[in-house]
Amino acid sequence: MSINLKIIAITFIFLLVLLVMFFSLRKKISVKYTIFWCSCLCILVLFTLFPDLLLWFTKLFGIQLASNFIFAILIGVLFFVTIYLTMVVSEQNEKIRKLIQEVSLLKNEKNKKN
Amino acid sequence: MKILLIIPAYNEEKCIKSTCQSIINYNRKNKTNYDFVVINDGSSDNTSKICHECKYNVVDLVNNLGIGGAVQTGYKYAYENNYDIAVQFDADGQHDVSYVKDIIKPIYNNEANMVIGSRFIRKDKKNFNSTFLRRIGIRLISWKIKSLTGKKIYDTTSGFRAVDKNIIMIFSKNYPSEYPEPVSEVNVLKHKYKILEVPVVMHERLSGRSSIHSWKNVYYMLNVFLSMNIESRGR
Repeated sequence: MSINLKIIAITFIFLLVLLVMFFSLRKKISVKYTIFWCSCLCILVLFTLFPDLLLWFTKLFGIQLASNFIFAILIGVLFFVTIYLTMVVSEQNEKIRKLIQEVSLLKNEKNKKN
Repeated sequence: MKILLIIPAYNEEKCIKSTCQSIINYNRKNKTNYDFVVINDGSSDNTSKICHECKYNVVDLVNNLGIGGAVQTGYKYAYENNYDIAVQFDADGQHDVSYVKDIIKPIYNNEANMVIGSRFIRKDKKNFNSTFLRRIGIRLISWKIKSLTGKKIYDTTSGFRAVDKNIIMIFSKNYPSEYPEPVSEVNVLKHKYKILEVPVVMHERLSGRSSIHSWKNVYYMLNVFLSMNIESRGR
């Protein structure tokens, strides 16, 4: 892995960290998701700095190309994240539904009293 | 016995007045006292305005919830206000208030916990039986409910139904959001409550269209079948 490639990769990851921090500081991403994304990015940094580590893992899983290993892992992680987020969205849906119902019923009650 | 008609309404400005007026007139003529509540599901037309002008009892949902969420609000209302019987009643003129007495009668007589107004029990020329494809869909759902619960229900998607206090409580806590009718039947049967069907005549809707149409049919069946499986197994 050339030093140029390393610099580009690290810069890219650094930008992603900045993005996560930016949203986190503005409270657009809650802390638990910040931790998750930062640890993911840390692992990527580790692999960039020590490509041998990556090659070792690649061999361990019996995959021929390091890039294939990366793709497989990333796709797996992204699938997991998306499914998890669908669950979060569905849960929030239920909560919002309950809220709308309760608020609307309260308003109806208040109207009747007036 | 306190009886409540739940009227979910989404953009029904054309017929909401005649539907509510038909109930009020019926009460006056027959000395019944059916209460009703319109659940305005965040309509963008004048549904809410008309209801307030006519001083109907109306719950304005602050956001659109879809049919399941709207109907469940009605059941919550019935539960909080201690109603003995809740009847689902369409705003679009499909249901006839004179049949309400028939579908609440089995609950009066302790013959059933839930009564469904069915189009298929008695063959009647006047009756609006909906389209061929839709009838096949209803058959399939009927067969599925039979295989899940052992109970044969003919008009599985009928929205004209009455429930007693026990079911009001169940529905106010748990009611399917997307295509609620068949799934809620599975829920009731799972709790070992009794469902009965009585014949009713339904009219063709005055305006608006069914929530189930064209390309959505396949998705509808898939959704309903999966939901029924989950409902019959879940907690």
